[in-house]
Amino acid sequence: MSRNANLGEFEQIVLLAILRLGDEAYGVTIRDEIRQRTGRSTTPGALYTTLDRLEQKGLVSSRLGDPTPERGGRAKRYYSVSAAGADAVERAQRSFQSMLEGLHIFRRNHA
Amino acid sequence: MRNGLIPEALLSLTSPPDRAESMAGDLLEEARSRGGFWLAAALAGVVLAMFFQAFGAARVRTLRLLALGLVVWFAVYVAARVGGALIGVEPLLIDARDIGALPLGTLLYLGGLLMLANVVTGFVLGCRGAVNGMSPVMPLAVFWAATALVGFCSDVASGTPTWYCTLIYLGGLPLLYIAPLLLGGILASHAAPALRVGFSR
Repeated sequence: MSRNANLGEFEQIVLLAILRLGDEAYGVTIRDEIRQRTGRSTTPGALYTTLDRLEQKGLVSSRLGDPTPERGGRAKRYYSVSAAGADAVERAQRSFQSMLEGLHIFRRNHA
Repeated sequence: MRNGLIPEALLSLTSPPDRAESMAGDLLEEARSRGGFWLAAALAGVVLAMFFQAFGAARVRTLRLLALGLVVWFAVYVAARVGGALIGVEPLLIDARDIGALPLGTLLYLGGLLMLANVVTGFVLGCRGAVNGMSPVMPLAVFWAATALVGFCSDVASGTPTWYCTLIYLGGLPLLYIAPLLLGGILASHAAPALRVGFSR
């Protein structure tokens, strides 16, 4: 993985959702977490292609859990953020903060 | 036998089997509260999204598979039609300008040959290596689906859609083209290891 890999906005959101969920991050919970935190309804197709891409970049890894009956006997694929993934999120957030510095666009007091 | 085999089989057309299994499980888990319509829409969305991701990562190889599929399909269909004409089943040239007026036997013959050509094409393509986890029959399957959609929309836009054209686009292409093509691909994925041809995920 390149150290300079840039993350898109949705990739950052997915990585942060996985980090928040810890050991319970799989497709359904990641979508729920994103919906609850951002109010954004994510399609399964968008999430899986993003997870696939992040895994190819080496930013997340996955492992299969145990099969469960409510899933028709299929295993969950649990995702975790790699060290490179955590670094990439941190870099992206630092860049974002740096761009915001000195701007006062969020001040509510317009006096 | 576990349920949800159809969603898993459809997902495995664009993803490696272990990924398809976990994605099918996720969709089935959510479908318990959201219903069958949501499952169908989500399934179509995931298959298309994964297809376009694989296509974006390997455009040349995907287009080559599409070209190969069209060539094989055309060759098999023409060979079958010529063979049928030689043994006197149906003439080689059939006036298909008014499909609705063709005898039932001719329609069944043409439909059967189309299905046969697509099964054989699916088998030939299915014996080739996967593209980024995507089944090699997918480029042609998406091409047939796009053809059906464009044909149907053009027919409606012309202002004079006919019942048999609508039937062909919405029923004929999925039944005579796409389903047999996928069937051929699935048969190949099971037979290829025994035949020692290069199917791999």
